[in-house]
Amino acid sequence: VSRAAPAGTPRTLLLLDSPALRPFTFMRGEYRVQVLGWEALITAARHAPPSAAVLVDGFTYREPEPDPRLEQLLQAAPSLPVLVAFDLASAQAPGVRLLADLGVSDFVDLPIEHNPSTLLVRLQSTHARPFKRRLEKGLPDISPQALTLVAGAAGVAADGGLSTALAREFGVNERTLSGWCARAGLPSPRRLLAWQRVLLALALLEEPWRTVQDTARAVGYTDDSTFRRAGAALLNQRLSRGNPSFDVALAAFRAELKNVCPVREPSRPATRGAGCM
Amino acid sequence: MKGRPRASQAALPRAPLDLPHSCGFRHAELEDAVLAAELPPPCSVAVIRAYRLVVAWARSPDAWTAPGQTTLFGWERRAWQSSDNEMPVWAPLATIASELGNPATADAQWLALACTALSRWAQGLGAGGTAALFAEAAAFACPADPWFACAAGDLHGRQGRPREAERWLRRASKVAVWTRNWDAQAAALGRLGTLAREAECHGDAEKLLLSALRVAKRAGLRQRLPAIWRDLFLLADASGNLEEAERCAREALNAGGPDNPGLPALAREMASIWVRHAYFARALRVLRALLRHLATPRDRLNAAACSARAAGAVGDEQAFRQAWDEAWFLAGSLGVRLRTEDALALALGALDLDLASEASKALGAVVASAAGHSEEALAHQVQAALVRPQTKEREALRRSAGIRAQHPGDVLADRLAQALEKRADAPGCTGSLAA
Repeated sequence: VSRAAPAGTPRTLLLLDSPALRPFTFMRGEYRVQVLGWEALITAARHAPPSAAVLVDGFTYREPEPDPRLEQLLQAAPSLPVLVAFDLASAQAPGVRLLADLGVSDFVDLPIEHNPSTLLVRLQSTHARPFKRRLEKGLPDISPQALTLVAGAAGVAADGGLSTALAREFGVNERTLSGWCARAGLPSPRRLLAWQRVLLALALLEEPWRTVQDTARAVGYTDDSTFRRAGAALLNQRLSRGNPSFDVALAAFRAELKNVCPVREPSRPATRGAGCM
Repeated sequence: MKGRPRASQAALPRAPLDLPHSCGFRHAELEDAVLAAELPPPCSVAVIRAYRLVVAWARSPDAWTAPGQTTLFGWERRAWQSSDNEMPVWAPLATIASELGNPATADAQWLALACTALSRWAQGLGAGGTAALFAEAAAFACPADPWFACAAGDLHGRQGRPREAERWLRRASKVAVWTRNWDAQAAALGRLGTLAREAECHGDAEKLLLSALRVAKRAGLRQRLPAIWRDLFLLADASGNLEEAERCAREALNAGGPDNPGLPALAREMASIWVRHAYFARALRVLRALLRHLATPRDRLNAAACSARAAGAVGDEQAFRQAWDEAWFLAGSLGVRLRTEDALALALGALDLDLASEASKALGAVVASAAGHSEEALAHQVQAALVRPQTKEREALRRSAGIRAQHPGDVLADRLAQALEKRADAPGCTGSLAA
């Protein structure tokens, strides 16, 4: 399950076996649906590739508190986008806040958004969201253009794609993409993607049940030694589980961005007295 | 049957970095949770649904499938009930329901206007996050209209989110170029320049503001020029270039004339700069004309204190007395708090005229207002207030030599004062409160 999907292969949607979610069983195109019961779903989510998503139905009018199994699922799959389907009118605003606090990536408002095409839009917008969320929080001072490129690279890394896939994501060729990266103060697309793969792998390795071998393959490396070599080249240190941590690696990525383009630094402020007004 | 053309489908350039739709980077928080946290419970569900529907439709208008008329009208009916029949909420919700009920003929402009109305309603409630999200939803719904993106950027800027503001303003600028909307382009570039200036990126700010100026001049947008020149003036001041600041202020005055609504602010800032650089005669000329244009007692007190200081420095005791009385009237009768720098300005003016009792009173106010300030902050204010004597002497020398009117700075001061005096005829202007 944990192997990165080759280009063009549908992503996986782990769907809870529930009557309310039946319409989504017939998703076509980008997602391959696996309908599972709670236990099997949690087990599958633990080892699912980072391109997968989970949709469950754990929030009903009679049960204003989320199903305890939802919390269990969120703990089992912190790197997967988990979507919860429910009736917004029943759950009301406190329900939305509760889900957001729990770490749910998005929700599906069942009475209104009950067709698969609407869900597809939601799934696309939440693709690799937990990883992108960590990146966004860790990169507070880079330009919006650079952030868009980093987000694109993070999404492609979650799919195990190459720099050609990244160029395809933006609808341009690799040469144009290189120019964009240079102007946005980012390393070359290949290096940017390598960084995202390593960062994603380090984020996945925070989950103790994932092995280095499986994680390396999940982010697109052929085996763990290729992953270790790529990581060592970027971070100047030998990689092992938890060393370096995701945060340390992200700090190294930030440092590299500053070296590539320090233009976002504010210019020296002019000395200015308080004055009268 | 062919439906109405959608404005959202107007051909836009392939620029995924500046026009991010599907790959937009906003993942730190679940937007719906922001709405849920800020909105009052009765109508929050209806408003959250409206937001989700518009954004889902805007992401892919062609692939989007309507939930069905019955569902939408049921939602609309519940929205009417839950919004407590409050028209500012219900009217935009009804518009969204009726437009999205039939996606084939949905009009992006109407959807965007409905979102803008909800954004304004949220601003009125003090729900800043909701207001920003609906402003963005408007820009998403009608991506070919740069004004919606500009409004989203402007709102983010005012709410202290420069990165989001920059993203939306850049998008507005690109769309404006593509749709040949020069007014929106000048506005977006000008606002980007202001953001860069506020972030102290002076080089970027200058480039952006000069671009805005070029666009505004080329398109004959005279109404945009004063604001852009004012930003360039503030930029020159921040860089410590007095001559350039004076030149930009002159251009702003030329472009806007006496009726420019930004004139009092420009005059106030210019006078402040002259006080800092010890050009007291110029500052006094402008401040005396300015006083009647300041609306708030706080601003009037500040201007009066500055006038007193400038009057003391140039030896004009009558002007000092007038400003002194005005300042103490405001501080005493109207209860406006006398800040340290104002009290210090009054004290320095009195000391320049050797008025010991006034100086003593003002210094007492300095001590009283400085309580609670750190020593460092106080020292900084005193240092800023003390003027280089050689500068003062130089001005006195120039005044005595009778060349005052020939210097461009003095000419500017006269022109600013004259423009303000012309404005003084406008209804609603009042004279000195203390008089």
